[in-house]
Amino acid sequence: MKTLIVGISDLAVGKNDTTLQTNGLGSCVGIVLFDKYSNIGGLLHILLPECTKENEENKAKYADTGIPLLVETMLLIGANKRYLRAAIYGGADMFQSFSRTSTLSIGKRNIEATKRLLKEYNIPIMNSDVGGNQGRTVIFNCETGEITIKSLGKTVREFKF
Amino acid sequence: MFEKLNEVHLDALKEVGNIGVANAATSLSILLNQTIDIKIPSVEVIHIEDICDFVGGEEQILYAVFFQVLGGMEGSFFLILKEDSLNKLLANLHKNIKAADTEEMNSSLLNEVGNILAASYISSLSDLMNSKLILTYPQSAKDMAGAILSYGVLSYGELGNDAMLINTSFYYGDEQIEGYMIFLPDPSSLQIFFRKFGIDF
Repeated sequence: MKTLIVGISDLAVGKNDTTLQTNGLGSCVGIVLFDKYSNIGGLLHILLPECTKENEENKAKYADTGIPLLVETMLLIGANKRYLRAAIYGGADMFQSFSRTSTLSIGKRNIEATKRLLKEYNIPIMNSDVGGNQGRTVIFNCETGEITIKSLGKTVREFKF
Repeated sequence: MFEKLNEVHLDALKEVGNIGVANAATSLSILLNQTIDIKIPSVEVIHIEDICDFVGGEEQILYAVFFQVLGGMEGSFFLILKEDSLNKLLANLHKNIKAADTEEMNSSLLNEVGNILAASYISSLSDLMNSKLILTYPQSAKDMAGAILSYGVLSYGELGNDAMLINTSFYYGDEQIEGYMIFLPDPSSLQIFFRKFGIDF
């Protein structure tokens, strides 16, 4: 069993006995995609909702460029687009921040953009734990399709695709 | 974005940390009636995903008080303490202040310590720049480092993959209380800052 740690604005895909994990999601959103027929899973950790730059080198930083990249990468290693299912976590409001461009919090904007993109790709969201004011760690087992969510070291949610 | 930073730029930013932490340490020293030591501030340009490295990784549980700095130089300001340091700090405060030792009161005390330290730090920066700076009200959280510090890199994330932070830390007494004060100036404020001092950027 190997574990791949996904950092901020990063993604990883895995097959069979791989565990994908991302630590300390605050306002960021962690997006898990899974094709349970091929046991191919992916995890994306986005920081911001939308990319405004034309030649962004790190597509995994944004929901609107990261989700397409995650889907493409999973298809490349053999996942079937029709079988993809999603689970989303994070988007908390740890702190209220004062933005000149939006009245919505960054967490809420990340959640909205994530949901919009998944809808565009026709990927159903099977489970979610978003909002609130606590950080979350996501641990996803590609073998079993099981997801564990932890806050402050305690398991707060379990889900199986 | 930060390729342009040379020694002169870094020295100017270090000076912000230097006078900021010195001023804040003086306030803390009065509050606790103790001598406070400070470490030499550092200015670090890091990849966004490495923002938690200096405190021990994304899952490290921290107590943090967060402020936004608005006005002539904008940015995010954090006071960060690990649990054992916070407990020792609170114990010291309770010696000097008659307050109930409840969770609510302790959270309020942490906010107030954050407020005093941040205000001292930022007011020295305000004097240095001869520019009005405003702090938002203190907001505290106990959570994983990743969840807390990612707030500091949002504005950097919109521009690139690096962030710059001015890291200062203080400690005192035999009890080894250690805290960090981190200031992440908004990238858009850097130019204004350097121009004030006649440094090209």
